[in-house]
Amino acid sequence: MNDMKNVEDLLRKAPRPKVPSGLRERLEADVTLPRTATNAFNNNDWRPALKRWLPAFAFSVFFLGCVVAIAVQANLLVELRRENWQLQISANELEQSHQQQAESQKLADQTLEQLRKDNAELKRLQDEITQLQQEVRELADLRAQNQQLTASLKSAQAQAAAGGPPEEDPFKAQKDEAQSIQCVSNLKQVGLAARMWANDHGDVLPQDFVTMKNELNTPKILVCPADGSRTRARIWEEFSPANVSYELLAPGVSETEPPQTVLTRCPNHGHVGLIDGSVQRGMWKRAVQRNGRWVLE
Amino acid sequence: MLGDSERLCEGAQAGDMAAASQLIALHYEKIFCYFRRLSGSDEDGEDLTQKTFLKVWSSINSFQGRSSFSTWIHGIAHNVYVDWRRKRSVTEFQSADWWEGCIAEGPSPFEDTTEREMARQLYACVEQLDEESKQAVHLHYYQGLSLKETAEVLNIATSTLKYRLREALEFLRSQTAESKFRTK
Repeated sequence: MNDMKNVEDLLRKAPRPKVPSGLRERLEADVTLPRTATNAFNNNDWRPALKRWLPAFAFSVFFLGCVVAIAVQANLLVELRRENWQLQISANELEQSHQQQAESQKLADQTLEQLRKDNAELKRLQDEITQLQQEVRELADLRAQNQQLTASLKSAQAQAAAGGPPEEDPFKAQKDEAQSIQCVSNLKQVGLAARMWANDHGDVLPQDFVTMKNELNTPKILVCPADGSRTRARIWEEFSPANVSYELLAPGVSETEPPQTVLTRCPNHGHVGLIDGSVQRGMWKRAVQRNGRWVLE
Repeated sequence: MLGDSERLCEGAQAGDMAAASQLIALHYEKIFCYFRRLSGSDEDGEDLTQKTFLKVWSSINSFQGRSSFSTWIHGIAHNVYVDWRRKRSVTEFQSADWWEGCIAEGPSPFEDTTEREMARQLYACVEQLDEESKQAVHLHYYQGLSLKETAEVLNIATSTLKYRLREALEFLRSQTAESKFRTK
């Protein structure tokens, strides 16, 4: 190992040969450095340089052309994008304006409809006002009539309090007429019942009202409506002489008696029932007594 | 970071003659020694040195700094030597007497006469190496290039260079051991 190291050391210590004199000067004299770039351009022979640089120049021109084309296309693309953007904005604005117009139209329609409704409501209210005004006028008339009636009532009350004649009931005549008619009807039924009883009993009229109770059906018709002092019997079991207003003037007579013979009489109205079944209103004042019988003249 | 040679080379590329002269001053002795040890005569050494520098100036613009300037110029020198050797079909070796004279002329780096004698024999044995090993020994040991620089000059891999050098050292060690044995 040491031998190898010694060999390497000795090789590294190899002496240098002596350099001949003048070698450096000759070498310096032979120096021919290449021309610089400036000198090359000053030289008239430019074709080798052009030939050397032509590929690079051509590639540079091609590359520059590509760059210019890309730049132009990029510029066009940017312009188109800007125009597209502006068109999109315009389209959006147009859409918005359409929507606003539709909303405005809808709002106008709604407003018009509301105005129509309001107009109809106004017209209805005006009608109501007119009706109310008319009612107010009628109310005023009614108030005036009420005041007039109130004043009349007060004067009547004052007159009654002072002992004057009572005021006549305005419905009394109609009421009396109705009672009179009802009374006539009662007398007719009684006469009919008497004739029916006579047909079954030898043409002889009954002695009293109870005798012909089967033909009268009810004792209610034996009380005159105008007779306030008597009460009506609802059934024959409750019947008594106190429940009769009419007078039986020809008890037990034959039907063959003169037809002007009075059978029944209403002492309140003066109506008379004849034995032939007819009723004469208020004719009692013309009745006269003959042979123990009351007859009409 | 650029060395002195590289900065001077940039000046020479720009047409600076002074820089070119300084480059010559820095490298012409080493290049001459390289050729002188290989060629066997001063005239051939001078001629090859001149050819080498002419090629340096003609191709100065091709130097791009990927390696040191020393490596680059040694590569040119190696190619010049190979061309020269191919044309001349040189077969003679550097004689041991020349190495003896060479050692005697300059200041002696050796410690004693025994070492000097051994060196003389060793240098003579180097001339007996095959051409590839001899180039490796000359460039790495004599010219002082590193393994990487030597491999770049010879255009071989560093591992190949190491193999060649180991083989060469083994041969030289065996040769010197035989010489020592014969002397004793």
